[in-house]
Amino acid sequence: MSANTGMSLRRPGESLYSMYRRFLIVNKGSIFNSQTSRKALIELANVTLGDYDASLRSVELFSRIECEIVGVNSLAKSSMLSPITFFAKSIKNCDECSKIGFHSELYNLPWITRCPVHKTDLSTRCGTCNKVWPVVSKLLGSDCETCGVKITFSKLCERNAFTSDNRFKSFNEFTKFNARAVTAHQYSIKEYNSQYSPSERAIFRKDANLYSRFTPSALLSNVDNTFWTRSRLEMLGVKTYRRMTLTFPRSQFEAKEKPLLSSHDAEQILERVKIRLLAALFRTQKRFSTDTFRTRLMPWGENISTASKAWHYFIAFGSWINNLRRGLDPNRSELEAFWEIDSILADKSILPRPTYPDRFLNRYISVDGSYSSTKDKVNMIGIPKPVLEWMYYTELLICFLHTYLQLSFLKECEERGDKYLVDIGGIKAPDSLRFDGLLANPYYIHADEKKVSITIPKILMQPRLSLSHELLTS
Amino acid sequence: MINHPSEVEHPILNPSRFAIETPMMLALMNQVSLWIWNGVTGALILGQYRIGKTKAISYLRSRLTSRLGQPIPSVVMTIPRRDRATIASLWKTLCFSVELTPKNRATADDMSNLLFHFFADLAALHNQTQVVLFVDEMQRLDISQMEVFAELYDRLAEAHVNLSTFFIGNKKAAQGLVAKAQCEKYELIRGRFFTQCCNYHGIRTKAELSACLKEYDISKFPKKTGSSYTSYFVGEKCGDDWKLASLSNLIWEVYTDNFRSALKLESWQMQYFVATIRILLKDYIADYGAENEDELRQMIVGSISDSGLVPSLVQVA
Repeated sequence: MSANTGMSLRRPGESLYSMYRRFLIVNKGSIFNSQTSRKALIELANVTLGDYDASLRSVELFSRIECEIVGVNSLAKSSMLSPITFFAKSIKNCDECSKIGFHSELYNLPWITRCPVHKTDLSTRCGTCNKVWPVVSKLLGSDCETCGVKITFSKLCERNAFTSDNRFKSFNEFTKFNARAVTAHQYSIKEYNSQYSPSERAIFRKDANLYSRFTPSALLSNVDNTFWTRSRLEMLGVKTYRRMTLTFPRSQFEAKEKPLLSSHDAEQILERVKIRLLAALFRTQKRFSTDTFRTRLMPWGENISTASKAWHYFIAFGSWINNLRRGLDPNRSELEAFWEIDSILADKSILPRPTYPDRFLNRYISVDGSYSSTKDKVNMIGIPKPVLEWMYYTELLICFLHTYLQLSFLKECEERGDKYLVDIGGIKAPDSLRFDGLLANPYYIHADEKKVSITIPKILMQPRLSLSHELLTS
Repeated sequence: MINHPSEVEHPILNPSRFAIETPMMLALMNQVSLWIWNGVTGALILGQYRIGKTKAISYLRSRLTSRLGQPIPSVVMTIPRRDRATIASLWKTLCFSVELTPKNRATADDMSNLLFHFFADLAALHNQTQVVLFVDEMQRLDISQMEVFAELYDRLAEAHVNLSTFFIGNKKAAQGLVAKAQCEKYELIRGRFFTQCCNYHGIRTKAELSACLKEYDISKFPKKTGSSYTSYFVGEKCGDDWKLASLSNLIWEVYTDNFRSALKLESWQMQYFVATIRILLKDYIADYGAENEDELRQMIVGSISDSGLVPSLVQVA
């Protein structure tokens, strides 16, 4: 007894979901293509019946199918893709890819919007039947010839599914990413589950949508910085932004020079930001008990649990800013984040901390589960890309705080009558402060003997952010 | 662990396992290779019963290569005799012959779909665009069932896979099918599968006989480390240097004088030839040696007679 494997439909970089789907497509009419006869498949793959339910959804099953039925050990090893989509509750796919039985794990990453092969927009719904792409458990029930498994051989021929398409070779470039994705994903889930109770996890999944947004994005950052070039990102439809550098003469930072902004002005701006944040909170206080959030202790510590919470708050904060921009009220986790940020803004004793921005942004989580402040490019999981947009806003705050700190320090210097140069972020801060929020578009503040330059994405030039721009260029 | 009998038993004593490389096999392999290399979509390989067609196919299918020397995957299916020779039953037979298990209620479309994917997979697994299907006992096919192979070819061509189908059958029994294919109605079938034909035969010349006997002197059991088939049986009596091929003239003489003309044999069927040599080596030379030519002549006559060649040609009046 054997089964077709669909090797003829195999393309580089396909997901486990895709493998399973093509298995069902090519076994249409076989006992392996039915709900009731899956036992036969399990037995064929030499998996014990005790593991039946678990193994049906496992990566191992498919590697066994390939090893034992097809007898291609080397291929099976290389196909150990990230199982994210296999477990996913929703699928994102390209219509054209789906017609030839293809899907890539990359497609489910939120920041990928375009199919690199067909240059079409990725969608959560099938373009033919307009239903959401069927998840693994629903595949057999779908009759659609685009998203289902009842696609005839002739139809596949018509769609050139058996033709070698060199464009798919571009997925080979992401092999490294896929290989790492498995480890990182497993780590993320483990780490996530270990820190939160089931009820908390449910809230986070619902509100912050961590599985679909945070985790895959973190996986992206799990690859060497040099991998994500602008061209690669653009191939996947990821928006990349040009950078702009604002440069100031170093002399402006001398104590006797006129400050960029008076301390009074700075406080005014801070206050306006706070009012805006509070207004958002005010609109939602009827729905949420803010005391709940106030009583929670959220230190920005370096140990794993607190750092992880800080991480989630940071993401939620960005989400809130996005929602705010769209006129939506923040949800529970976003409010939690707000309170955390708000407490920082309110606490004068925190503001002068010179290392604050560094601790806030440059948080590295290594794949082995430890947190580190060192920039180990190989093992780090940097700040994820889907938070890019709100990172600009947060970055604005950071820049603002920088300036505020600078001014506070200048003011102190002025009061003491000191005359010496100060570095951005304080005396102990490094000359070059790099924010790895966007790996392909790093933005950073750099100070040398003659000038201070701030390199940021050009999106900061948008009207809502003119405050920062004016602030920095005044 | 107990070894399988076939692992300890000498191949000569196991007719189902025994095979030697014959000049006829090599000729057939060259012919089939040529067909494949020239893009022939199908052909007939016809011959008498028991001349070793099936053995020849199983020999050559693992040795087929493309022009570039890459192995070409192939599948062998044997047509069973059924009360009703329908297209659906043939699809089902094809499925089972490649170990696919269609659902009980699978339609012909379902089964054909499975097979299209099977052959496409086969080609992809071997990184080839060419696959070969050998259909044994083709005389049992109905002409209408030939459409199945035409459809297989057409669909696979759409998937850029070239399928060559070779039909193997008994020359006389297949005449009816071949004659039907001459009908204008089946022009497509005829043009696709019946334009090329090769007659397979048993031993017809002394040179072929000599080449077959040499195989007994060359082949070893156990492989590589063992003694030759010949010396395994007669080494003690005749010495390890004694060659079965040295009897080529005598065996050919006995065969032609006593059997070939009398029985009007076109060729010496391999089944009877192999049985003859088995008896000759194991039962005669191993016991009586090969020094006396008259005795040898009698041994050969006895071996051929006992091989079944004569009884097989007895007809009920």
